[in-house]
Amino acid sequence: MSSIAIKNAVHGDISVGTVLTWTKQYTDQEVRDYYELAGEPTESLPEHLPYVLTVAPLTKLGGDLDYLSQRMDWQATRPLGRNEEIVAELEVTRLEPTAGMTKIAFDARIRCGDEVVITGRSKGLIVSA
Amino acid sequence: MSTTRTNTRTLRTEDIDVCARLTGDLGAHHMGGHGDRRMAQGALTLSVVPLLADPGVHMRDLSFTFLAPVYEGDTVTATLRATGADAAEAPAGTGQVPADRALITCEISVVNDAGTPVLTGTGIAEVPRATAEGLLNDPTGGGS
Repeated sequence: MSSIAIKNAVHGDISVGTVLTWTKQYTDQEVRDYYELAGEPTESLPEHLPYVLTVAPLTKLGGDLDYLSQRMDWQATRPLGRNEEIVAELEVTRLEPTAGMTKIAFDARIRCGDEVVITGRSKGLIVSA
Repeated sequence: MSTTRTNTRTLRTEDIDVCARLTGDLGAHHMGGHGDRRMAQGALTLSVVPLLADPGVHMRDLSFTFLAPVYEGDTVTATLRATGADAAEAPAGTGQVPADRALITCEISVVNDAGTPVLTGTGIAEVPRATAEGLLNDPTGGGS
């Protein structure tokens, strides 16, 4: 295990192996607001969440770190129901502080209960760390 | 057979605020600015990409690269080129394709007002078969 760590106001000390988590369940109003943002009809809501909302909790965790993503890759086994509770996990796989920034990479997961529905990876920079 | 759909939108400051509320992405570069302008969330840029928010569309696979930042006030144009895909192209571990559904491959690009690419990506979408046939047999070759 690397001894390199960065401090974060939301998640505390972060090093390789740290798993950041966030749980989210969208309200129908939030789903409606997203469709409005995307320029889609909002009269009747589909059974499943729009894709971007399914992965958005991962971007929330990135936002906590002031993370600037350069690349993201996701694979999903099924669509997520509109009212499912989503648990997002980002596991730090690389942490490399350099001058004025930190290179960081994650393995990403979205769980519904014990089921892993989305897996992926992301890499990018934290400029303020 | 392939088709292309495009969507153009100006990303306003209030859109960044709504996206922050919905996603929880409150990164300092989104909320306080990067230089003197607020940077749009990646999720906000993705909200412009055609097909992703269409009902019944399940993205089995999506990979993208952010090439340049998008700022408040930028007008972005997202283009999605869809091509029919064989079931064998389904990503491993993402399950069988039901008989009433089909796979399409997607090539995604987003450019800003200056024509500078800001995002590029590829994906595999599972869609209702009727949607795939309508999309891929569009005699106009697509539209917005």
